[in-house]
Amino acid sequence: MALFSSSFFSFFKKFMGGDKGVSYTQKTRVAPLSPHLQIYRLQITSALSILHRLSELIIYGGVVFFGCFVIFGLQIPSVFGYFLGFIQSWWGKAYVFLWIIGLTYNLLSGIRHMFWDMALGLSLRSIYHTSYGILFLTLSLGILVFWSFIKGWSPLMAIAG
Amino acid sequence: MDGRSVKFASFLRIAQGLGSSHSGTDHFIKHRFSFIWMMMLTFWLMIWLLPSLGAIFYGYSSSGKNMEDLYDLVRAFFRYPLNGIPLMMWLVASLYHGTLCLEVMIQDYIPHSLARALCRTLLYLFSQAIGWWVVFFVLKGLLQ
Repeated sequence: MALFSSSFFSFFKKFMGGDKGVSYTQKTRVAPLSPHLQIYRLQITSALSILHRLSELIIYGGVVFFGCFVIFGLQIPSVFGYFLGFIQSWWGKAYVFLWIIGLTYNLLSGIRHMFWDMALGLSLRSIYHTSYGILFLTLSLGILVFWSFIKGWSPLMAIAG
Repeated sequence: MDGRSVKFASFLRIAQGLGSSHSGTDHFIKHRFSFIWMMMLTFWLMIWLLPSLGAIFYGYSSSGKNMEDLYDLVRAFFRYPLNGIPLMMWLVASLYHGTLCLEVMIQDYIPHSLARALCRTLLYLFSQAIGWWVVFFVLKGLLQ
């Protein structure tokens, strides 16, 4: 298994900027990696910052999935069957739930960032308050959106009749 | 200051070199504008698109309709301009915004310049390919 040999891993680590086989002078030139999890205690602010990045990854994955559904699923009936099977399965629903939670969190956190850009809500007290508020709203709004997806109901549909 | 940043800078900023950020303001502004664009369409996605797709995927399929009926129904749903065009705009905005976000992550977590450049290029190519194909197929569906 040459693929999993130590030389392959050392090449990969070196390629990705790892420190194996790099001299001290070279090591000092390598850019430091954020968010420095090894030296800082996890707090609500840093936890939400990490969650924001994780949510971006989840959203991007879901957007690519949605894009592939439009490109392949809506053009080829047999591929549409695979997408339908995935969406109707429990792991498909679990992924959609995770994606909706990520999307809701990213949306609310992004709105808070816009306020921060206008220098509003930057005191430590308001940062803590809005952090807990965002967590509460993410869960409640996310569950509501997921429920409306599963049930196929929305207020707009009720208004339109 | 690179050429791309100049687009968002005022004449005073260009002439006197004012401002603490000498480059990278274009990325910040693109990030914020694409977020506003995506945010408005995400509300539409949450209150209209997802419930509608849920009604088709779970409601109609449990009412005894077969896969061909569902396929035609979903295609007809996206051929309607008020569904197809916002979907296309939301996907393009999300891909654009997501690419900007992932680009920052690549810069933060991949220190090696060659690997970083390779990942950024692959990310841009992948996002552009998905985006252009989505635009093509949605417009093709609308014009049929």
